[in-house]
This record gives sequence, structure tokens and C-alpha cells, in this order.
Amino acid sequence: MAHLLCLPTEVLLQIVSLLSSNADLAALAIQCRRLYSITDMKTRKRYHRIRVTNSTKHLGHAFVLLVEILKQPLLGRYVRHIEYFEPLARCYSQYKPKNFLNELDMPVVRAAIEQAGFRSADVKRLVKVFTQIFRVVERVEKEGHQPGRLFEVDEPFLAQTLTALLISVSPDVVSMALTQPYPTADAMHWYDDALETEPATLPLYWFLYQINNNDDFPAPGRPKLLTKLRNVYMINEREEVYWYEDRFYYPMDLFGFMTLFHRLPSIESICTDALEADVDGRRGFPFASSHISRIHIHHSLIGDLDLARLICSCKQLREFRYSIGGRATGRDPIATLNDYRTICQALLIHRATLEILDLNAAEQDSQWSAVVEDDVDENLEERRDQEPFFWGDEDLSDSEDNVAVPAWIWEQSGSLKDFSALKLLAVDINFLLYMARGVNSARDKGCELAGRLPPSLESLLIRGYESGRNKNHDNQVASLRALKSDQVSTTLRDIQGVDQTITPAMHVEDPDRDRHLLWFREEEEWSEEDEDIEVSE
Amino acid sequence: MSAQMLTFLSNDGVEITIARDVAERSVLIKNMLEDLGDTDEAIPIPNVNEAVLRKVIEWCEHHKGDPPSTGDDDDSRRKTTDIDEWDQKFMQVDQEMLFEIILAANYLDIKGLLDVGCKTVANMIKGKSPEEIRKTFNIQNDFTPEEEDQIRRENEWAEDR
Repeated sequence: MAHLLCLPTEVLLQIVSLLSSNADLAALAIQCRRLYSITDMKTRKRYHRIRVTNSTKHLGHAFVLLVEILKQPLLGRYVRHIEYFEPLARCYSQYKPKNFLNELDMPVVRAAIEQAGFRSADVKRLVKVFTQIFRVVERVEKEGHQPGRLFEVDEPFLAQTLTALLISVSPDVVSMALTQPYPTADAMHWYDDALETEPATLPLYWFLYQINNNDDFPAPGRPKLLTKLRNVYMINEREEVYWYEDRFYYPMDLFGFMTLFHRLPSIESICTDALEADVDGRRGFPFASSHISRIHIHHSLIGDLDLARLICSCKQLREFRYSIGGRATGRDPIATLNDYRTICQALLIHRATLEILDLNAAEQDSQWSAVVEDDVDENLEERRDQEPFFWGDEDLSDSEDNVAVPAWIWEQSGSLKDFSALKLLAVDINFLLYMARGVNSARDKGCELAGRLPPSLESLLIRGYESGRNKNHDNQVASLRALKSDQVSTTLRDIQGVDQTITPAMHVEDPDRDRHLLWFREEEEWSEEDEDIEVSE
Repeated sequence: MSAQMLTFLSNDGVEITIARDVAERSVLIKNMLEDLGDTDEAIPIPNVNEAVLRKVIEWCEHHKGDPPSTGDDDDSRRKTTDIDEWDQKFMQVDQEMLFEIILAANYLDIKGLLDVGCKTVANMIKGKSPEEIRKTFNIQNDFTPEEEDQIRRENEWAEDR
């Protein structure tokens, strides 16, 4: 009787090559000896994630893996995650072009650089870069590692070139984590125009930009790169040696960074933390031009209009999570989640696709909330309705880099009820009631919250509701309670923040006193065994 | 001029006559015809029985107008789950038939059919736990409990990403 294991090994290998999830492969490996050897998990482990930094150890390890892949291209299929970590401050501030040593004869590397799509004028230069990496590896092998210490290389080309080449030989990469691979004024307080280099001098920036924006890259008819990349984590870190360090939100060129990924065919999510996005840098994309459908931005501070731009840039938004907190603001905080109307109108564009909405920020204007009156919501709302949407934000539409939120979004009518796909909702009580009342012709000041919940809602979390503090809030929450006890709704299983107050996120006011409140990136574990330099025969 | 109709003999002794362009979806047969020249005799297909052969021919008939497959490179661009609707229906058979079709496609060297078969099997594996896979494909466990434990530990890194 024909059976899976009757298939010849080459056919089983073909089936295995179609499985991109290592979890699926691990499940196969444990079935029997034959599948264990066919799935080859030990080799996969060695390649499944690679990180490149400007330390000699990581450069050396990644270099060895790259050369192995160049010799045996199938190994490139095992790479699923690539991390590039090179905080800008160090890598560019000390950058001085070096006199390269004599070019080694590295025909394989030269071929790989050509194959990756770099322009012929750059090939020679990048081959020299490789000579450098090669020497670094040699040195490390000769001197060995000093435990606990990483040698650093003041040469931005090394890590960038290596990362670009790894991408070019790894067709199945699904996730990346990386620091911003180019300097911008808003990401570097000491930025100076001399750093405005030709893109080709920043190999990784140039490479990613071409992949994402040039349909003929690497060449017409050649396989496209990063076609399976789904998730990108933008590492937002600086060197601690600078005063501008880990107590504050860091400015990052959010939209410029996103232009390295936003059109990739499989891209789903971008995530980051500790971000401060203000008005510098690129301001957005044309309406609905980004393929990104899930956005997670936590411990960050983004102005309302930039949030709206972000929301409007997505073709289809499925998940939007945003929170402040974990950092201090170095100056007057940007108003965030303050202009309900702007956020609400932008979100309404995605009323048919949005599944998860999680917005977490305390009311910024503490003086306002201090004088809580019964009708505070209406007052606030009317105040907001009268506010200009752009706060005098001039010249938004005159260049491609500064794309305004399209004017027609202000004419949309709708309310919370219209979010037909929404399953999980976690927002502030005031914003929740605003969304429930709706905008334009859907607006109903007297509506009952329970009657305006999204039809597929499964989980509702209300932040900032305190019983007895505001009569209107109490009445609305009572309508929710009734809903729960009547069991009218079939989908809503979980309501939080009604009996116990859930405090919204806040900035860390005194980071020196309250260091425990600060957020730090948890580095993924990279075991020693993962990164040993072993040159295989 | 080459004959337009060809006759094949399955390994259970049944003769089946089909058009030459359909039969030539099989690289094995195409090469054989080039080597042998025209023949009026039934061509034996020793590894494939009638039921499977008819199924394979059904696929070749449907796909006879397809452009010849190009290199391997564009494979990486397609998603595993992308199987066209007709092929999906075609592959809704019991497991024994599925593997027989794959074996026949491999033997007859019909790349398109082999691809569809492999994708179908890959989709049956995706997202399943080891226990579910064992049950689905009825795979005999030949590890000792200690070995199994060790493999689980070895592969703990392989969480989904």
C-alpha cells in the first residue's frame, strides 16, 4: 500500500523544501529516523537566524556562514531571520575611509556581489570591503576571543555589505530586525550635511531601497529578493556613550525607514519601541500605498497627525497597536491620542478589515482632567470638533515626501458599530464613547454604548474608567453590564476595566528616580553555540 | 510524420489509447518516443496500474496546453498553498491514490503533476502537531523514548517564525 515513506528521498526532499515553518519541520523530524535525517534540523539550526553587528565576533561568524552558503546555495534556504545591529552614532561618527589592503583573490565573493544586483561601479569597492572582513576573521582566529569583550570595527561598510549579501542568498527570510541603516537629521542630533552620502556608500540602505522600490531589481527576469519577508522589527537604540540615551524616546525616521519594506509582496507587520515621531523626516506615503497590515508601536510617542498618516498609508489595516510609556519626554510632550476626530476618521477607512485596535495613552492634558464635570466629554468633543485638523501644519501636500491625509476622509460617516471585522478593542473610556457616538451623519450624542458595539467584537478592554467619577460613564458602563447579564451578544466573551480600573499608560516623569519604569529591549538569546566560528571544510 | 495516437499498457494489463501531445507531458515518454521513433505497439508502463494511469492521463489532458515549465528559480516565488482550483479538486483522493499519483509523476517525469502532488502533501503537514502528523500518515515511530526526548530538546529552537 502506498504510504508517505514509500516516496523516494528526492521527492520527500521536495516536500520538505515546501515547508517554510521550522515548527512543521521539527514535527516531521520526530516521526522516524528517515524523516529525521531528511529534515536535517541540525544544519537548519546553524543557519536559521544570523545577526550582523560591527563586532568582530559577529562579523566573523556571519562571514563564515555567507561563504558556506555561496559554496552550497541550498543552505541559504535555511535562513529565516536576519538581524542587523549597528547603532548610528558609533558607526558613522568615527567613519574615516581606510586604505584598503591589496585585494585578495576572492572570485566567489565577487560573483556574489555581482549576482546580488550591485552596480558594476560598486563591485570593486565592495570586494575590497570583503577583503577587510576576511582580514577581521583571520585576526579573530589568530588572536581568539577575549571572553566578555567584543572587538568593534569602525567601518560601516562591513556590517552593511555583509547583511546585504546575506539577504541576496537567503530567499526564505521571513523576519528581520534592524537598526536604521542610514543617518537622518531627526535620528542624530549632531547630524551634519557631510554625512549625506551617496546611497551606494551605504550598501544596505541602497540595497533594501532597491528591493522595495525598483521593480526591475536585481535585474529583469531574475528572482526578486525578500519575497517572503513578513515581519520587520525596527530596532531603535543609540549608543549609551551619548547624553541622548536610554531614558527618553528616540526620534527615528519612521516613514523613511518604512520605505525600505512597505511594498514587499509578503510584508505584514512592522514593530518598534521607544520611538518618537515628530514632523521631521519623511512624513508619509501616498494614500493606501503600503502593504503593511499590522502595526505594533509600543512605548512610543507619535503625534496624532502622524498616527493618522500611518493609518492612511496602509492598503488594508488589520491590526493597530500603539502605546506610550516606558520612557520620558525630553521636552514638551507631543499631543498623542488627543485629537479623537483625526484618529477616528483615519480608522474608519479600515472599518471592514480592522480586527485589533489597541490604543494606550493617558489623557495628556492633566489640567483638563483635573476639573472633571459631568459634561466634560461633550465639552471636550466640541472643542475638538472645532479644532483645525492640521494645527496650521503647512505645505503638507506639495511634495511627494509630505503626503497629507486625503481630504475626503473627513467626510466619512460612521461609528464603532461599523467596524465589522473588529474582534479585540482596548481603548480609553473617552475615546470609546467618542467612537460609539460616531462622526458626521452617523453621529448620535444620545446613543447607548451597548447598542453600538462592533458586531463581531469578542474582547473589550476599557482603560481609565472609574466608577462614580462621571455619571455618563457610569450609565454607559451599566448598559454594558446589562448586555453581559442578558447574554444578548453571542460573540463578546470578555469585558475588562469595568469593575476594576485599568490605568492607561503614562510617560515616565522622573526617569532617574523611577528607573524601574523604563522600558528596555529584551535581547533575544543568542547562545555561544549559535555563533561559534567554525570553518567547515 | 509521427502518429497522433499512442497506446499504453498498464502494469495490470489494460491498454489505453491517448493523443500524442497529451502523452508528451511526460518527459520520460517524450524522450522514449524520440529514441524509438514511431511505434504501433502498446508501450508498457511497468510501474503504474490502470486506475492511476487513467488519473495521470486526466491531469495531462487538462494541462496539455500549459506552457512548458521553466527553471527552478520561479518556484521560490510561488507560495506553497497556491494550487489552482482544478488541481485541488483533482487531488481530492484517498492517501493511497495520492502517493501512487506522486510516484507515477516522478517515474514518468511529469514535473507539473509532481509539484502539485508535493504541495498537496506539504499542505497536509502544515500546522499539525507531531501526533497529528503521525496519525494522518500512519507513520511508525522507530525511536526509543530516550532518543525521542533528545530530539525534542534539540529542536526546541524551532518555534514558528
